[in-house]
Amino acid sequence: MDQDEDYKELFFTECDELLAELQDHLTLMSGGEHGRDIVDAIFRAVHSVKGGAAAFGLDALTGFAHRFEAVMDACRAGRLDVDDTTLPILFRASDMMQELVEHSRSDAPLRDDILQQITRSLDGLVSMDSEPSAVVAADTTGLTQPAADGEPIVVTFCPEPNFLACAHDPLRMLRGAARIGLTEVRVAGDLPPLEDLDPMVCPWIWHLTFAQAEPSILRDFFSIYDLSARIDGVPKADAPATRALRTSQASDAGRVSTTGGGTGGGYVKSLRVPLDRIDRIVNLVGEIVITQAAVAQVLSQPRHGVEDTLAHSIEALSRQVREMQDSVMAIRAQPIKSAFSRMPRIVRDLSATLEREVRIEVSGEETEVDTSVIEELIEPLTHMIRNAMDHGIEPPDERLAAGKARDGLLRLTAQHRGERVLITLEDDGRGLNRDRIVDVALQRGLIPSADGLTAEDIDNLIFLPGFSTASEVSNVSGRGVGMDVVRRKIQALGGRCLIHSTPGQGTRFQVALPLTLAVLEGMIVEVGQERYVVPLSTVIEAVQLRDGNVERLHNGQFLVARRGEYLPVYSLADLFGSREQTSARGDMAIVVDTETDGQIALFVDALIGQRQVVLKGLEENYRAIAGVSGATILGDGRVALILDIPSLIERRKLRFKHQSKHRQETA
Amino acid sequence: MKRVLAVDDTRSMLGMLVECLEDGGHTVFSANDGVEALSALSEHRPEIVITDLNMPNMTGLEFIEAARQRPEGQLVPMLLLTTETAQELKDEARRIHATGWLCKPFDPDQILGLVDQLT
Repeated sequence: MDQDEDYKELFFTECDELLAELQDHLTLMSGGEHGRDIVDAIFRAVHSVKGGAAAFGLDALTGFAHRFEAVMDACRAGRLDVDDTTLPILFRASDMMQELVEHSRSDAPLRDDILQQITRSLDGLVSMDSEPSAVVAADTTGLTQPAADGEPIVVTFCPEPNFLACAHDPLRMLRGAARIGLTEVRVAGDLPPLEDLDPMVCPWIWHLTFAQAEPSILRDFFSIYDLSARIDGVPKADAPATRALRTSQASDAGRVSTTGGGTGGGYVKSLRVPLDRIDRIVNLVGEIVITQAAVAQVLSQPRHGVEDTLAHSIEALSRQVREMQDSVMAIRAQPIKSAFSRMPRIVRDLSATLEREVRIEVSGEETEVDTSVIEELIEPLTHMIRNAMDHGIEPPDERLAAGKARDGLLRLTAQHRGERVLITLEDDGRGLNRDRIVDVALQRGLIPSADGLTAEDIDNLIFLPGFSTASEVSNVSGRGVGMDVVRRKIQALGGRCLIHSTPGQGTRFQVALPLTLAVLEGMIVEVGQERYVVPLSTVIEAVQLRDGNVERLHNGQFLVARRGEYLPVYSLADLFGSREQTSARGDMAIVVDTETDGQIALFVDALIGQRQVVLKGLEENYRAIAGVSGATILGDGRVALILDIPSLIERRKLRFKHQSKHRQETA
Repeated sequence: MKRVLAVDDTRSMLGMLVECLEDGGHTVFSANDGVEALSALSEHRPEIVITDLNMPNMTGLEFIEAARQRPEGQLVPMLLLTTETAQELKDEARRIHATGWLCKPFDPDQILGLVDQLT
């Protein structure tokens, strides 16, 4: 019963959501939108309330929702127009349904007279006459003929042509009937000649005799064949068969049973705002940031006549704008819980299919992330879990043999790290099979040779497109979808994937994601005539280049010495694959952490400064460009591209590979 | 013990259905709409499906119709569990080869009985 109370509480929470949805769509409708999807959405909301209310024995709410639903059904079928007469009634009905929900939840007062009035208005829109029949009676069409007590009951069961196509099995039906007291079977009908035999049509009719059977049991048994068989002879119920319900409570017609004390008050009021309204504010704040930067830039240029006080005010303005931006972003933030909470279910379902025994421990669910990030996260997360359960965690026997606990353990955590959120999925399985990975990568031509690859390099090969192999296609993580899809998705979100595996002990996937997709803390650099933005979170430091700390290898590759280690230095032209080395090597380099390929340095001509930039997608204005995650407008009105250094490095590696492969082939 | 796929967009309904089936000792997979149900069908190969009718993205009827086109969905009994009673909908259910029509709210014993009866 406690469980049921929990579901009831959940149902009320859903009602809040459904009613809000209802209200939203009614509002759209009153704005002149009468589209099919709007009517459908309203119908569905009302219908869901009705279904739940019926399950919990909330009769008044059920009855009202049923009438409301009938009206929406008429709208849906085009029998009723949504016009100035109907709309106000629908709005009032929506309010009334809210009142009924509150009444059922916390015994809030119910205005009976208004309820009657609105019910009449609804009924007036469609010719309604009956009580909700769906919730009280099982369908008994075709189940006629009263039987006298003690008399054997003979049921005629005549399958229709669709009987087998509906996945019914005659043998199973007969065996089931035997369990409820079938005493005699007579078969009528003939098997047609072989050439006319249709294996999907059941040619027989059965006369089934039950010497002693409870009519209600027969009704329950046969009613499920309703859609694909004609059934005669089942005694009809005296009264509509009311289904006993675990949660139903005694309630008289007008009053609704309540859920017990203390559930009504105490829930935090929240306001539902359409996301696009918030996005409008986010955009607007973004524009303000740009304008403010423009003003700041004007002020920074040496000129006379500008008052100090103005500079002070601008400083204050910057601070306020920054705060405002943070607050607006906070509105969009929500706990990552809504993505994480689905995972235990997925693990359970997969455990059964894969015959693994796996527990999942989830922590850090309260970590807040931008709504859009959360939605986009579910798919890659699901895939990571599938992969870990399919390839990582061993079957129970294998685990026991390896001296591990029978149950595999998945640990899913989220935490903030600086401007990013770090999501970690760890398993305690067998770890990655590096020999096999190298074999596969070589076989598929993904790497020219295995020389010089570190263990980490090898682990990361599984993210390469085309790595997923046919030989490992299984029901679950196979189907030609590899980890490259996960990585692509994470990268599209401005994030990075990392993998770390210890043979025999398990694998750890880490996904680092930006907290938001709308603003970015960036380092602005100048290369040649252009300015570019590099995400600050990836920049480690800037290095002044002198003759003493730069070296050039015979293949033209530059290296910079930094505290005893050498880092490769690339020019932007090189990274973009341009043959013209227009930008000579600059005097400076910035050191960037690519996460997948370690640290690298990038030649720049000047560092302009660091600031928050508003991300504008390239797709909307031009088209997506690999290696560029977006663009922004700088204070002086110039457009600057935002560089995605890790993907530029990756592209360079791919090009390099193709070239060396080409060289090998031509040699 | 059977492998059952339960489909409903309303979390409380789905929760109760899943719990009822699990109490009956079955292995239960769940999906929130027809689209999810289709992929769950391929992935988990349930022996019987119980689905809500009115759902976003893909309704129960659309789901069954699509599922019947697939080899893994042809022989699986698929029950609709709904508060709808309209004859047109039942006719449609018949046309697309739904196995049976059940009325909400459901009786746990009846549901468990049907799982035994049909699989």
